[in-house]
Amino acid sequence: MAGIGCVMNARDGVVVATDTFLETPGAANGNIRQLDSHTVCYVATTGAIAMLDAYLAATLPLPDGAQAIVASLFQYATTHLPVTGALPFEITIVGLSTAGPAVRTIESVVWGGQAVRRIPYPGNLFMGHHSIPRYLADRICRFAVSLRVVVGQAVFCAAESRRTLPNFIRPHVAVVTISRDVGVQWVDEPTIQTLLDQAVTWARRLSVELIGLF
Amino acid sequence: MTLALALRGSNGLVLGTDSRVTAVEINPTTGLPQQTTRDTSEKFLQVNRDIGVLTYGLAEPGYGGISRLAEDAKRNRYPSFQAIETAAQGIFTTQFDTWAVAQPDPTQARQGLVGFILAGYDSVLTNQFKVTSFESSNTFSRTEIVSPAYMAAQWHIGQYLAGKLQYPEMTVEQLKPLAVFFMLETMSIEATVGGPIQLATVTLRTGFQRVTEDEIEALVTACQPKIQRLRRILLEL
Repeated sequence: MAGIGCVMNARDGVVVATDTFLETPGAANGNIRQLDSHTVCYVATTGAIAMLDAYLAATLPLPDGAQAIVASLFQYATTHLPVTGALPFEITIVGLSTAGPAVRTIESVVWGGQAVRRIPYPGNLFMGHHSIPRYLADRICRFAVSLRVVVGQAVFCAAESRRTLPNFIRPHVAVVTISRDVGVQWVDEPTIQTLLDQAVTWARRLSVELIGLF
Repeated sequence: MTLALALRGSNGLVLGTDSRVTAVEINPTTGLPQQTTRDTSEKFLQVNRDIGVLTYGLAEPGYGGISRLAEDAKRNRYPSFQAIETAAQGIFTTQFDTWAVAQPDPTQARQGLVGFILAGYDSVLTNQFKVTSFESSNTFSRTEIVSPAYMAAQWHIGQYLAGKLQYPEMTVEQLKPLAVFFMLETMSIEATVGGPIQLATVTLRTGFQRVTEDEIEALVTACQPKIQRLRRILLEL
């Protein structure tokens, strides 16, 4: 799996971030795709992209809401696999319910060559080169912070991963937020640049504070 | 997996590994694959007075490779680091091939990862502390490591922290707690790294020396305030 994918929870929504070759954030990002007004999916491998494309082509219009999409994708994959030449995949669906009780969905549909499985995640989820973002998020994340703060933390995690793994992480960051009132919203380029500057400041402060620890 | 590391200081090397072995077995009840772990693995051995060898990845060809190298070096008394490197490359390749052929699917077995780090003092050709890596993904070709911190397998967190905490002028005495710190921080996140920490130093004066369990225990205790301080700094960003 290329790069990194971060799904991080906020008080008022969910943040999905990935590294990318593209300087311009938005729907053109290949790893995070918007499925409906309050749902995105994260795909990183050739197998996942092929399965998602096949599913989307066969399932229009999509069912309503993240939970229904997960169920429908699971059903589709179970029915159509295995086929010759199919590659293993993990497709992660992230979404919020638009009406009724607030339901937050972070769930993967996974196929490794045997049975198709659904794996729900109750907390944050890190994919690809996940060790550094998982380590940092474990130490910097606090409960019940706002989307704005979590977006900054996600960009910091991506930037620090990129600094340590320059040959594995792509140079730019794409971030999308999902909130109940606004739905899916791409974080714009000027905001990302500001957050990358903030990440540099944090990294420098961290390095300075650590002088003399050993 | 494992965290295997070789840290280079101003007066020697510090080598370390964890001792966890992870296996994937089929759960008889669910029929699904599940991970099981044991903290019993010996992942490094002394080769001669000045040189040690570490392994990571697949446990069976890994341990087979380091134990055969240690026996071979004892028998042949190789005169230099370079001679041991040459012997090591042949032994690791043979050991891996023999193991792969004995597996139910040799082609798939050959995709598995096993690696070795040979580290020590070269008193014959260069008068330098040397670190060399051999990995199955690279057909065990010799790769000389010149960076101050070399880590393999579950290396990401350790490498991140090394970028913040390690500098080339550090002494072996400073690097020992740093190596333990890298291990503990990695263990806190990676389930496949764990168990007792194994540590050794290589210096000009004393050669290869294993760090005793008591000293490692003391280093783990001494690291606790440093771990707390790092957590506090990260929370205050």
